[in-house]
Amino acid sequence: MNETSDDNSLITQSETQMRKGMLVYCVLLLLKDGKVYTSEIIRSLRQAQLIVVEGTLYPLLNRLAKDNVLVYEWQESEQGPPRKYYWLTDDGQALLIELRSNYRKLHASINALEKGAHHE
Amino acid sequence: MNEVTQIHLGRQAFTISVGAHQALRAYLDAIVKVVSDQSVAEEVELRMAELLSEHGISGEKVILPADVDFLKEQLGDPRDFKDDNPTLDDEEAEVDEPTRNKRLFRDTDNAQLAGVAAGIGRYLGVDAVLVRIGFILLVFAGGWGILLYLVLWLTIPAAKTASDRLKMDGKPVNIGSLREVAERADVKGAAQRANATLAGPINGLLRTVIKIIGFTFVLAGLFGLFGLLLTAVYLALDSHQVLDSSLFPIGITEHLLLYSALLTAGLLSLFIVLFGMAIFRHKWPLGGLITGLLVGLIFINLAVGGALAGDAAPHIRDRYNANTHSVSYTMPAFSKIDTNENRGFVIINYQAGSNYSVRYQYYGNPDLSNIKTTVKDGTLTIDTRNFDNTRHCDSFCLPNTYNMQITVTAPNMSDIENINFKPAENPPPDAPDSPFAPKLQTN
Repeated sequence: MNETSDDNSLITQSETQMRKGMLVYCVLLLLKDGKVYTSEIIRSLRQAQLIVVEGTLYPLLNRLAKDNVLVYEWQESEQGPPRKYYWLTDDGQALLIELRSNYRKLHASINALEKGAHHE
Repeated sequence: MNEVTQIHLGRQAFTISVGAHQALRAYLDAIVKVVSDQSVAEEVELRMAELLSEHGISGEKVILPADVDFLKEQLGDPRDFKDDNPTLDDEEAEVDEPTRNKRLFRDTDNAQLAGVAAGIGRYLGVDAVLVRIGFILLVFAGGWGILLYLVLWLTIPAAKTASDRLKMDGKPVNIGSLREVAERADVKGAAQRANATLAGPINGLLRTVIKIIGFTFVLAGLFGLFGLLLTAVYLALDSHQVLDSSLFPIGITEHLLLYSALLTAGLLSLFIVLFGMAIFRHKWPLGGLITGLLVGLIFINLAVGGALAGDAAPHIRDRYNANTHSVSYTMPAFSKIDTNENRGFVIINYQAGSNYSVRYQYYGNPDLSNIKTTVKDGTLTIDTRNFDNTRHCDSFCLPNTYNMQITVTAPNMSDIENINFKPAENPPPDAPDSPFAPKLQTN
């Protein structure tokens, strides 16, 4: 996808793809306890080193909202511009549960593979 | 390099150097080209403004090319904004506005008082003037309009933010509509400053009426408070006079009941004053906590008063009964009645009976010797001119009267001239059925 990126090494590409694949699950995890606004989501993801640039997140959130996984509401903030608060719909909650089990399966599979690799 | 220009990023004004402006413009255009959705572009703009503020750029500080580079670093390459997985189901795009329904708020922007009528009008989609007329009609219908307005004022939240105002109209809350509301508010504010009498003649008249109502409330409440204060002072100085005299036997319950009633009345008067002030200032003059405490105090008072009254009522009734006496005189036959009674506290009843008699029924122990009851030449004369109905008291006396009921009985009332004979409406007092009914004593 990032064929023309500055750093087009296999490592970078693979890492980017991994992160991108986990991004939906991570966003749902952040929202599982209630309303969070965009900048807060960005801050958390960045602290967890899950995203490098914000650009990827906006279309993702937009798409999740269109797919009825998230809903949002604009709220004015006391200082600064209005904030867009997102929260999970029932569909989103269901998706979160599904992704969690998917992630655990994947994690278990990779663990098994790693162990297998060690045994050899 | 000193050349700067003004731009708006997400509703905020920034000063930017020309070089930085070109770079930013190109960056934004590239992003807009990639994202299909205009709302994403607007959100990115907002985020840029936020990032710049966090980066320490606000007010007079100029955005330089280095700051644009910082933005690019944070937000990423325009290609990152590309959505790899387009929406699965475009028809579900409708769901993206969670607030389609109207919500009821007080429309303080178009308020004559607190915006209750304007808010209801908006909610129902009718002119606020109609709602106001409705409220005024209800005021004349026994004052319910005032109470209803007060309750709604307290329960309906005011539309404070732009998103509240959008919800009030059932409009979707998004960045575009929020901006629109903010701009409209600016224009409206400016127009109001330029010309304070934008409202139509009905609203002007309403405003005058409301001012007069407010003034009346303040005045009435102050009078009430003043009267209650006088009462309290008088009670404190001379409580025996009041409490010993009329229906109140002296007792701690009755004392407390009286003070509780005074306090409740005082608090209600205070609320009337506050309500009047609120009408003038278009704003409830006290904080929520203090208002809550006052309302709580009223309810506690009412509860205490109710309990006290329940305790005191039997005492008062017993005292009334114990102090109500009656005395009957059998008279010679008469066919005419002459009374000079025109004082309100003596009530004369006529009734048919087996003999000719006059009965006095009275509370307390007045001097009955001042009443002259005679029959001469077939004429019954009841002369109450010298009857003193006021209680003897040492100092300043409250109006303190003894009620006297006189019952004239004759075997054939229709034979008697000169009276307005009305058949007895009440059952004869000899058969008491009310707790206040007197105990019959016959001389």
